Amino acid sequence: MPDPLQNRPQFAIAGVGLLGSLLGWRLARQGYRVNLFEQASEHTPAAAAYTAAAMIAPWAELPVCAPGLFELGKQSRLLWPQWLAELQQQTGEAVPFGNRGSLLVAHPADQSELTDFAQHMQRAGISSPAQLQPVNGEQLHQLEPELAGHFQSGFWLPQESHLENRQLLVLLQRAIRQLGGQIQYDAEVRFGDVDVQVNGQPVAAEQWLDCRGVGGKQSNSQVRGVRGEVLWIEAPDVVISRPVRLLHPRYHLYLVPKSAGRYILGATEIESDDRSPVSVRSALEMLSAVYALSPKLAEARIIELSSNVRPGLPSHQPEIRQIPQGLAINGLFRHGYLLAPAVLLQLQQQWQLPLDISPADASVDAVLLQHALQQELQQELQQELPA
Amino acid sequence: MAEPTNSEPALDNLVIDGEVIPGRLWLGTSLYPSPSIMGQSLQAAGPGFVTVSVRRQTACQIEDNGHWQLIDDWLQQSGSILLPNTAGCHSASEAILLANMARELFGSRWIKLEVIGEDYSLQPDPFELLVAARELVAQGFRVLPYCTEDLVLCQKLLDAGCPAVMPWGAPIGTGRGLQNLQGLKTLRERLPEAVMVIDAGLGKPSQAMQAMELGFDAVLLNTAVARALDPVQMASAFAAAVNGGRQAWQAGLMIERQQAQASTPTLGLPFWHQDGKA
Repeated sequence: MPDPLQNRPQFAIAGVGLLGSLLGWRLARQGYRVNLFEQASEHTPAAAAYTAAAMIAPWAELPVCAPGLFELGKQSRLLWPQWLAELQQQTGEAVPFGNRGSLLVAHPADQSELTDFAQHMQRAGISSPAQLQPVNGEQLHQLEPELAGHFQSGFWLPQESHLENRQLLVLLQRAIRQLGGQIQYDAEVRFGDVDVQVNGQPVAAEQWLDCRGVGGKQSNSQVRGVRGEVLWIEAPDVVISRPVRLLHPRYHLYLVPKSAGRYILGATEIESDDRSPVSVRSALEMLSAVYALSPKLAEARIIELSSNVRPGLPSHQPEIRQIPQGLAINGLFRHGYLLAPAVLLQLQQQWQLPLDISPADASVDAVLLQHALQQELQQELQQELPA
Repeated sequence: MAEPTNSEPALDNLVIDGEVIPGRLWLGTSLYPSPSIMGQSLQAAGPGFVTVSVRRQTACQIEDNGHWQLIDDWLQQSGSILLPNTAGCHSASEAILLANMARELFGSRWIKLEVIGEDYSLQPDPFELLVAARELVAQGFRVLPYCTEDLVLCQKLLDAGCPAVMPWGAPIGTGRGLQNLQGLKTLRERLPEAVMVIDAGLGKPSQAMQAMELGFDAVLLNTAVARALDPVQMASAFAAAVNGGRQAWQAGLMIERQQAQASTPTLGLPFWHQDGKA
């Protein structure tokens, strides 16, 4: 019996981070034969996506990210829930997806940071309560009772979300294998002028997708590494239900709740591709922020301190470029989870990759979806916020 | 100072330690939304010096540091001069070590000497600063110290061999402008020959212009440009303000007067009108 897949295109993917895993999964779902290659070992993941806090926060990032990423971020925000549902349908496991928005706060002495943020929102024409809610101390307390009492004002960004990324990455890889895809670890990929070698052996594929991040300098020499350091704490008794960002003149720090009473706090941003362990200075900065956000976290246990390197291009925007063997996608920088679904949509629309993404999910219908979301939020606002 | 020439309002050259510095607006390289926007902002500003901070732990990897490569490429094509700084140091010994690392890495004797004495305001520590400045000058550095507007401190830094001093306008990143106007005026008046640069605290082009109108030789800033809604346009605005301020200083500002004085001559008016009685 002839193999029905024999005539289908075959994809090889270099790099099993977020982008590589998502691409592998979307292609495998369509019945394409997919082989993925990852330089790291299976049990010691090296991808920036593994270290990230995995927020989908287009509004909070708007003042500090490159122009254009806001729209891509909103597309991703709309695509994620559907993709996670599809993944759950396939694997039987749900990836926790936080959709209670996020909070921005600043110490009383740093109120000008909130004014600065408001100015950016105003310039971008963002004023609807479904996107941006100024909140006072009482309202902050209502939304997050365990937050420190000295925060007297802030913003609630009701549509922002976050997801359980480590679980997502494991599930995506499992899903790829279930669909017949292969993942090879400890595999060093080298792109030659024409061919591609894996651990020194030529490997043929109809199309290569280079998704290697900082490891993909070979396909894009402008990629540079930007070090980030994060801290994991465990505090089952302290409940903070949404990501909270602490605006500060010198640092960009946020606390993101994860499952099982854990929180991730990140992240430093240091212009270096240094992967060495977290420095004392960075740890002090992050721990001070934890304590400032909620003194109740003083008794939390530090369960992990880790560092990694984000792939940044000079524009701080993602870039898809043609290489002789296929496509190289890079430059998701600090915004992997914010941008990956939108980048996949671009790959489908502009580079004809068969990814089975309905553009309507991220655009036309999205207006309706947003409308529905807004109504839902209005109800939540009425319930949650005191007048 | 060069004589203003014929009809061209040409700016006089800024010379420090015998070297012509190609601009009176100096810029830092942190906090920009992206390296591309930083590059465009530098292009718009045409800065004389571009500051880069060195971190002790990561300095050894400068060769493959992508961010540094981008700055270096820009320096090569623009003619601006690199000014490494010792940001984050809290003692003379730390700053001396970092300055030496910077000299080795960048092959430059210029150093912006920064020794912080108080963490919240990032106020310079004048005592450690002077110790570090003396040592670094002895080691052959061209030391540009970030200091307060204290006259005695500035004098001692100059005596130590610093070719310029860089008093703050206000604490770093606050954008409050020239907080101690009288102190800065005194400094300019009492040290007329010294090269003096306002470093830190400038938030608006008008504040940079004010510094230049007071006769300061250059301004150094970062946050006001990098954190503007449009950093490139803000860089242009600062460049124009610095030029305007310097031209005004060269042209010689009028002296403020108590009494109103008609700028259009009123011919035929008797002098006894001046006492206000008709």
